Amino acid sequence: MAGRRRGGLTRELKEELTVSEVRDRAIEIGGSGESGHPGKASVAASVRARIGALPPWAGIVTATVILVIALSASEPLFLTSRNLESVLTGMSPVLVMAAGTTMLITLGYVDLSIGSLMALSMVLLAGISGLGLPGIVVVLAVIAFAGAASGLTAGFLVGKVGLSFFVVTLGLLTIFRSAAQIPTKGIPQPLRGSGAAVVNWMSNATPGGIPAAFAIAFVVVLLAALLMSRTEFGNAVRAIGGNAVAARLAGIPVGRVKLLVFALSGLTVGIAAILFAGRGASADPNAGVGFELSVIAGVLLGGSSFQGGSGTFTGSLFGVAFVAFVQNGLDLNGVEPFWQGVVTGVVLIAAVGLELLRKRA
Amino acid sequence: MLDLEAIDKNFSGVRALRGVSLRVEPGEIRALLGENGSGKSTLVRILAGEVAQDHGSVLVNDVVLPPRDVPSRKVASVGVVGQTAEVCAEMTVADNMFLSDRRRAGLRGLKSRRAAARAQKILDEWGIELDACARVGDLSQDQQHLVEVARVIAQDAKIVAFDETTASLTEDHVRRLFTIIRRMGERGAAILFVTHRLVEVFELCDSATVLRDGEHVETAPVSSLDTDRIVRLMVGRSIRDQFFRPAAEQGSVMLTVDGVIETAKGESYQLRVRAGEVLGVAGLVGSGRSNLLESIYGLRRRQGTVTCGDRRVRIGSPAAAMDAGIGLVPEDRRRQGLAVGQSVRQNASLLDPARRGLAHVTSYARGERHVTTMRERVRLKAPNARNAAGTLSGGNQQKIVLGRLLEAAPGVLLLDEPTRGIDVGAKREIYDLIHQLAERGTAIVLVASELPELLGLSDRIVALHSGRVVEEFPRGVDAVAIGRAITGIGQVVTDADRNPFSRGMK
Repeated sequence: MAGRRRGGLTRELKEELTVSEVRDRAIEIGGSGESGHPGKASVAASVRARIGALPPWAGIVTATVILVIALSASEPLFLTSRNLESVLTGMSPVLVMAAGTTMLITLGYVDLSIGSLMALSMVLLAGISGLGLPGIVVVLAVIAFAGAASGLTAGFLVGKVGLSFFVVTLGLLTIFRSAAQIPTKGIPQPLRGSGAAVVNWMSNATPGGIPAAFAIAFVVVLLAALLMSRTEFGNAVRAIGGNAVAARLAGIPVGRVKLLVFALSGLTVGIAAILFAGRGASADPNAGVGFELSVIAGVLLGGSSFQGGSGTFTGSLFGVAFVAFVQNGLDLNGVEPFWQGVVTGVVLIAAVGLELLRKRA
Repeated sequence: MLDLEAIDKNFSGVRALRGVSLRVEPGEIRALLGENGSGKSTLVRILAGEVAQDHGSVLVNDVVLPPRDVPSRKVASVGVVGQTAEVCAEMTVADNMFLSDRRRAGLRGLKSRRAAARAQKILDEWGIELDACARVGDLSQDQQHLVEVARVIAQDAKIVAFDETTASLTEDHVRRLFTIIRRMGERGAAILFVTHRLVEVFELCDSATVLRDGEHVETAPVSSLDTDRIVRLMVGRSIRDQFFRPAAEQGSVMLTVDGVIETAKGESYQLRVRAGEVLGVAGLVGSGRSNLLESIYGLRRRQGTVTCGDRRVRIGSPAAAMDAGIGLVPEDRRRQGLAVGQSVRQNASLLDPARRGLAHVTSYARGERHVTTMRERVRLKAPNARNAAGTLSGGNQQKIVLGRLLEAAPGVLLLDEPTRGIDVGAKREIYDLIHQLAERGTAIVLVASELPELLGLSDRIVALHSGRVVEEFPRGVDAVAIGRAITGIGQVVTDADRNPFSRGMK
């Protein structure tokens, strides 16, 4: 204590300036690290600053546009309506699930079980499609089932109990897959009856030249984006992804929000199951293996951060589209489809690397 | 011994250091002072080899060390202890001490028992009360810091930099650290000691170097300096560094906390705060002062009742506490208060989901309004609301945490170390805010480590020791009396009271 007193901190000092003058001075000093001095800034620095100011989806949108232009120029078959319809329809299930995964990744999570859950939902679809229920009821039942399955398992165990999302969703990946295979003995089931008709329309119709499946997927992405950007729910998800402790102290019901996001992601899986099953008019319990990785790759390509706290639906839309166009380009050029993984992987790693540069800028 | 010669450093065009030179002799304890953003930490990081300087050189015994090269620092016996303890929680104290140079010390493959014995010998020799075999994760924050100091000792560092190490240490451990630093000095080490607390400079250091705006302002023996002069050098002019808040008019009791905390005699203590009153809570880290605030805020389930106005607060839910009109500014801003990677706007809107309900519609404009309000009400300086909150100075970060609470206009405000790690000017603004809030009838509970701050702001102070209320002090009490109470010096009688035999004797 003697030292403190000798130091004289408790002593009043002569005041030569008004408090506000000192304060302004202090802010000037404190703030000089943030604003920068344009006079000395190099051109490179200003370019970097501009790159840093771009939205996270700018890269993937640019890349997709360039890819589409290149494919249009080099492949006469690319710009045919038949080809484009097939690409857009083909990417729809992944795009729908990307909407849910973008929400999850904003929270700082991913759900590894979505591919398996999609297969399980398809098996349910095949099971109830021939029961004579109205088609729309069948569709809604499948979507509700997938939402509930994801929310009550992953959502509850991760959000409420507090288990690791990785372990829980990895476990569910194998459980859901088995649950799809057990009743079907691993054999694809045909879709029948009223359910099949609705499902077939949703996946294969092209009203006004636009594939219904893609339109549905696009609307889902749009709704998810609106939910996240225009409601306090979205605000809460970003808050938890950014700092869960701070969110809890702010009174946000963290566990409930996590459960809801897993449930919403499950709903998108249910929709994807319908779009996917409708394509072949059958439910293959072995379908969708590795889909979770395609979805995550598309979302990350779009510029959403794996760290949580920020997700971009525009980015996810273009990320998924980019992968689809790459695959299509390879197909049209007669390249073996196995090369697609290499291209996607390289682009993914490069994209994340570029994102790092953007953040450092 | 240590020479820094004409160091320049720019971060993407922004000057951090310009032409800074300093020389520290063997056995010298040099204070490195300056406001936040003056370049102290950058200088230490250059010395540590973590970042490369643009120009200039770092010399140890006239040998130039390569820029941005951490291993060369080990060879040159340079050690750095930071503000947060960088330790491996799952390893033992001994393993942590020999972490960086097992190979060099010939310890690779050494039986952990022998390593532990060697570590224990060093710890005992230096009077550091740690068990070399203890798992570091089981130690307190303060003890973990000592582990880091012990690591530097184990490396036999001849040049040691402490970068605001005392900022997060309790008074008790600051003493221990000082004893160690003095011994390092006696053994001929050159010490660079970065701090915000000027008292420590007068107590510990031989000389002081002041930086301002990235430039060297002055180096002088401490004996030729006083607080006024140092502050003048740091800020560029002189300021009153002590703040005495005039008493505000007190209203009815706003907050009553019953049975949550006990007195030293084991009786239930009733904590009451009136509207317009600032109740200071004095105590060392670990004395239960943060626990007390967290209990009131409903973060810890325990017995007792909390009443705000005439509403009983349900324990166990921050949302319920907020509904009842209680707001908390948490102790650790970056961990508990802000999402540093997210935008200023997002952080400013943090309370909305809970206050308005998850189903409510929100908008970009709503977030912007929050930021505008903060710019006006708490003088938040944030050039762009889209920038990450982590890019702001500590003072402005704290203004976001405080500012968004003020929008909720809570009747009771719990402030846990509201001025930690922020510069002099911003501190003063926070003091002004606390005063304004009290004048408007807010009941405030304030936890602060710096006693002058606590004394200057509080109408009444309760002193905690070992999780119990030791004493209650009125306004204008001497800092020494509080210091005695919180370190447990005035407790002989009460300790005896806790002993059943002596109680029977009375």
